[in-house]
Amino acid sequence: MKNRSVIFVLVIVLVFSLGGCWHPLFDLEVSVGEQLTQRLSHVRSFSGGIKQPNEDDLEAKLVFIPFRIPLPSSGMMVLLNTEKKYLRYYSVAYDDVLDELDLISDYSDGYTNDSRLLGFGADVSGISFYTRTQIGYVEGIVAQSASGISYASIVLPAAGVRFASGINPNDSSLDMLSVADWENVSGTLSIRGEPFSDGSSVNSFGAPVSTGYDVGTYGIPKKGFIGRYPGNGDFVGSFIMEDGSIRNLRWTSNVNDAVGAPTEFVGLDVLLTGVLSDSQLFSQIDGTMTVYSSLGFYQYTIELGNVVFIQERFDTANAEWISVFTRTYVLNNEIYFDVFEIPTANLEDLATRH
Amino acid sequence: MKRSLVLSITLFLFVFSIIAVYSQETGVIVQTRINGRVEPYWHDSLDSALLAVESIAQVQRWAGDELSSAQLETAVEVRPNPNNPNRIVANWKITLVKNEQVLAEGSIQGLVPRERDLADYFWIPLLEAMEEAVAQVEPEPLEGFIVRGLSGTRIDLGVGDTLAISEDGQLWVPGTLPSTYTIAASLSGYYREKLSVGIQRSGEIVEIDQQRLSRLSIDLALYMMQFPEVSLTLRLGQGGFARITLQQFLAGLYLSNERNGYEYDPNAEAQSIFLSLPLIQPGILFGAFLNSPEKRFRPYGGLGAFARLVVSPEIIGVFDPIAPWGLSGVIGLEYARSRRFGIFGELGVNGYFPSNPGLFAYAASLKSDGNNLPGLGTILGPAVIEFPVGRFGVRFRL
Repeated sequence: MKNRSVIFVLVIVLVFSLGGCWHPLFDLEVSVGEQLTQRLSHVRSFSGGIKQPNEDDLEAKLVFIPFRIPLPSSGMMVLLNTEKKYLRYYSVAYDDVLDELDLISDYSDGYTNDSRLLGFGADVSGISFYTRTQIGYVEGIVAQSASGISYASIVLPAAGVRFASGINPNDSSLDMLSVADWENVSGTLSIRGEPFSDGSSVNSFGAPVSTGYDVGTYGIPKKGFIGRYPGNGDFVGSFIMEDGSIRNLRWTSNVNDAVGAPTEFVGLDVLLTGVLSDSQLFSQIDGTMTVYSSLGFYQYTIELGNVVFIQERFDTANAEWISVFTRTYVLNNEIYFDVFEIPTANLEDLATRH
Repeated sequence: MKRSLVLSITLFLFVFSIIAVYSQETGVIVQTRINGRVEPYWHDSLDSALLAVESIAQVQRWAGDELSSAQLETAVEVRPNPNNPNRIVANWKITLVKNEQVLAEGSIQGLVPRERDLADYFWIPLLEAMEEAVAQVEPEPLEGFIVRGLSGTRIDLGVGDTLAISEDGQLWVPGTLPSTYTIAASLSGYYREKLSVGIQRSGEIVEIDQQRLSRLSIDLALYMMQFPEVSLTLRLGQGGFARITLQQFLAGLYLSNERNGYEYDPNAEAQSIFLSLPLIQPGILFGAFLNSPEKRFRPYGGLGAFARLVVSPEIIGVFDPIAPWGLSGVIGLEYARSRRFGIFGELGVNGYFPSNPGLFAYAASLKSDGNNLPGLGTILGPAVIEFPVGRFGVRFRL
C-alpha cells in the first residue's frame, strides 16, 4: 500500500510538471489555411535543401513568390523580420534531380530601421521588388532570373518622401511603371503618380517619366498602397493617415493633367492592398482577404489563415487570369513551400462570408 | 398393553434419534409439513417415523418462509373424503429442497387414523419412499448459519466452492460451531463485501449489506493542469467503462510569458494567465480497471478516439480541416477516498493523422516554445504523436 501511494504521488507530480505552459497541437491560422488549400488546385510543393537562415529569423515571416508560369520551379523567398525590421531576399530554384530546393543567391537590405516591402511583381523569369529602407529612399531589387539577384537603388524625390508603393501585380509583364509617392509640401499632401520606365534594365530605375501632381490636401499618410486599374490605368490609393484615419482615393491615369480632387471611396475604411485583374480591389491583412468592387463596395471575404495571396498570372492556354497563393512553413529548421492556384473568376467560391 | 408398547417403541426411537443428532456430525435433515385439519399428534407421529429412517439425522417442522437447512421436504395434505366423513385422503410428496425436484409422491386413503394407527402403520408407504429418497442425498453437517443477501450473490468462505444465495435471499451455510467465519460476498454490479463474523449457535443469521456499484460517474479534471474539462463515465460490467469527455481549450490557464513564436517580449507587461483557443475535442474512451472496485488504489487503462471541432466563423463546418480526429490511449490511477469520491491522475498519448503531418507539427512548434521542433509532437510516418499528456481531477460516482 505504501509503495502504491508513492507511485500515485509521483504520477501526480509528473502530471503537474507537464502543465502550465503546454499548448495543444492547434493553430487556427494553420487550420484555416489548410481549409483554403483543400479548395484550391495544388500546383507543387518544395521542400528540403534550404535551412532556416539564422537564429534571428526564427520568428520571421517567410513569403514565397513563384515566377508567373504554370508550373514554377523557381522563385523568390522573402523574409520579413518584423522584430528586427529588415528584409532578406533569396533566389531559389528546385532541383528535380536532387529533389530539393537550391539557394541561388541572397540579398539582405541590412539591419536598417523600419524596412518595408512596398511592392513586388513577377513575370515568367524575374521578380521585382520595391522596398523602403529609410525615409526618403526607395530601393529596387530585380531578379531577372533564378540565377541571381540584381540590385539597384533609386532615390525618389528626396524632399519629404515618406512612402512609395505601387507595382501593378496583375500585369503580365515585368511592370514597374506604377510607382507613386507623395510628399509633404507646406503641410499639403501631394500624391505623385510617377510611373517609372520598364524595370527590365537596372539603369532604368530612378527615371520617372513624368512629374508628380497634387491631388489635394489630405494630410500625411504613414502607411498605404498605390495601384492601378488594369483597364484604363487609373490609379487607386489607400492610405492610413497619421491621425489614424483611412482614405481611399481614385484618380485619373492622365498624369499630365493636374487632378485637384480625386474621387474618394466614401465609407470604405479599410486599407486596400491590391487590385485584381477584373478591377476588383482587395485588402489582405492578418490572414483575411476582403474583396471590394472597383468602386469600393464590399463583395466577400476569404479567410486565408497562413496562406498568402501572391499575385495573378495570365494563363494563355485558357485565356484567363489565375490567382496564385503560396504557403510557407518551417519544420525542423527546414523551409517548405506550397503553391496553389484558382482562376480569378472563381475566387468568390472561396468566400467564407458575403 | 399393546398401545403402551407402541408408545414405548416410539419414545425409544425418538430419544435414540435425539442422541443420534448430537452424536453424528453429518446427516440428512428433513423438513415436514402437514396441511389440513389434523390433531397435533399427526405431526409428532410423522416426525418420529421419519427419524427412524436411517441417515435422517434431524427433522424440522416447516416454519413459514424462513430458510431451512433441510435437504428434503415431506409435504402431506390431509383432507376428508367427501363421500364418507369417517375416511380421509392424505396426499404426500417428497422433494429436494434445493431445486424442488419431486423425488416421490403418493396417497394414503382409509379410515381416519387413530393416534396408535399413525404410530403403527399409517406412514409406512411414505417411509418406504423416504428410504429411497434419502439414498439420493449427500449428508451434510448438521450445524450452520444463514447468510442473507441479494439473490445470486456468491458467498466465499475461503475454503471449497463458493455458494450462491438463493432466490429467497438466503443461504444455509453448514459448518462447525461456534467459530469465526470470514465471508466474501460477490455479485456482479455490486461491491464485493468482506466481513468477519463470529457464529455462536446454529441458525444464526448474518445480514450482508451489499452496495450497488455506481452506473455513472462524473470527472472534473484539469487537462495538462491548464484546461478544465468534464467527463461522464458509464460502467460496463464489473470493471469496464465507457467515458465521454468534453475536452475544451476555450478557457484555460497559460503560465508562459510567450504567447507564440512572434510575440515573445521579455520586457512586455505581464500577460494574461488565461488562454483561449477555439478548439474542443469531444471524445470517447473504452477502458477497464485492473482490480476490483472496492480497492482504494485502482489502476486502469483505456483506448479511445476524439473529434477536433473548431468553433470559429473562419472555419466552414465544425471539424478541424487539418486533423479532424485523433486516437488516444491512457493509463491512470484512481485513489478512492470513499466509494463515491476519488481523485485520479492519468498519463496519455494522442495520435493524429493530419492531412499534412509536417504542417500540423509546424502549427504545434509555433505555439509550443518558439522552437522549431514541436514541443510535444513527434512525426511518425503519416501520424503525429503527442506524448505525454496528462489530466488530474476528482471523480464523483453517482
